[in-house]
Amino acid sequence: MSDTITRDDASAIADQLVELAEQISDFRFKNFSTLSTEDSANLRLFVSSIRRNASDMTALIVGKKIENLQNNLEVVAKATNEAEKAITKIEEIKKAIDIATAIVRLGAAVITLNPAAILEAANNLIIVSK
Amino acid sequence: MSFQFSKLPKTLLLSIALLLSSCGVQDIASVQAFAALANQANEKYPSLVADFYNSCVRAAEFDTDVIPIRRDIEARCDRYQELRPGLLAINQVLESYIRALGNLASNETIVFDAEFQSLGNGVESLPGVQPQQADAVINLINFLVSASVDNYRREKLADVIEISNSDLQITLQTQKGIFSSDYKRLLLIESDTIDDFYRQKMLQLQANPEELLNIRRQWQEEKVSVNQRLRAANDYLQILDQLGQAHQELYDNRNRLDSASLGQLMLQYTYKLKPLIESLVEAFS
Repeated sequence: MSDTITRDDASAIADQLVELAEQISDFRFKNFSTLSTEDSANLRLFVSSIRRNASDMTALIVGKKIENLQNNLEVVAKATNEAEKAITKIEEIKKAIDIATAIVRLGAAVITLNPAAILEAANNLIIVSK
Repeated sequence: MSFQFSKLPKTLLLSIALLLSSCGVQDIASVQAFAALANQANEKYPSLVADFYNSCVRAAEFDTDVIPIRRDIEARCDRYQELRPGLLAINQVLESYIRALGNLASNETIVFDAEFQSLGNGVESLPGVQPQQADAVINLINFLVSASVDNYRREKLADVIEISNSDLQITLQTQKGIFSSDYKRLLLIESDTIDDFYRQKMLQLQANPEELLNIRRQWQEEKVSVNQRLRAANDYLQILDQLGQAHQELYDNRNRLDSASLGQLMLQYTYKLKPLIESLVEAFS
């Protein structure tokens, strides 16, 4: 199997990031009255950052090669699915911040095309989503 | 290099009209009238391509009012400017190919300017386009140039359709892939960012009902604009689909291109395209 990232591969990751950004944004607005100003501002910055990574994704990675592409795609999909499930059930603000931070790191790791960084960031997102 | 902007829908229709006339079908007045409408869509294609960058910049404007951060985001949007020559080049190749079909159907030769062959450079440099996709576009270019040099006419129409079908379908899919993934995602990000901006504003202005109403109105106006462009993007994707299906029908019927039933079939495609083109024109007017 080719290790070259296709537009479909990159689009799948980017679309997942857009969805996660929207979920975090929804969480922020639903809990706006109870969030501290600092937490609210941080979540807003994370949402912006995730959207920017999603926006950059296809332009930066389509056509590039990465070792064990299939494994990387699977681990990223697993991590984003776990995050998606977790966000719907979050009750603590700290957990929301941790998940949002981990998503930003994962998006950035994918753009670097470094398999070790992607694996580490994906595993971290899975752990904080538990 | 100077690009001729797309005449794709118009030339498709003119080609169909020529095919119809070559089939002896007289009722082409409605098709010609529609071609005039479709000409407006030609002028909108560059706006559609430009909206990759514009949507990214609009999202940046709603994302932050901190100027250095906004400038940084806008700088990242510049990469969407890099798509422009390649997208315009692909569209010009599609337009030229369909115009060539129209010429051949009316037993005319195909003529290109000297710059036509260099369109392949724009396609090869298009970020994210795979080598086999660029090859398909370049194959179309080279085939059209050789058909021009060899003075192809009507008797070669079936050969052109047969030889080009695969490359044309790949070219249409390439264009479709870029619009369906990158452009639609940019619009979604723009839409979500606008929502966040106005949700924040509404929370801040809860104590001021009059201002709240004003903000709600502004929000709705922004959403109308982005939703209209999203619909136009979907319509453009459908136009590409219809072109692919129309050419596939030509390919499947290439040995009986003079049948009246084929004329009817192609007329059906013109009616399918009409509302799609109208929507595209409206969104970028």
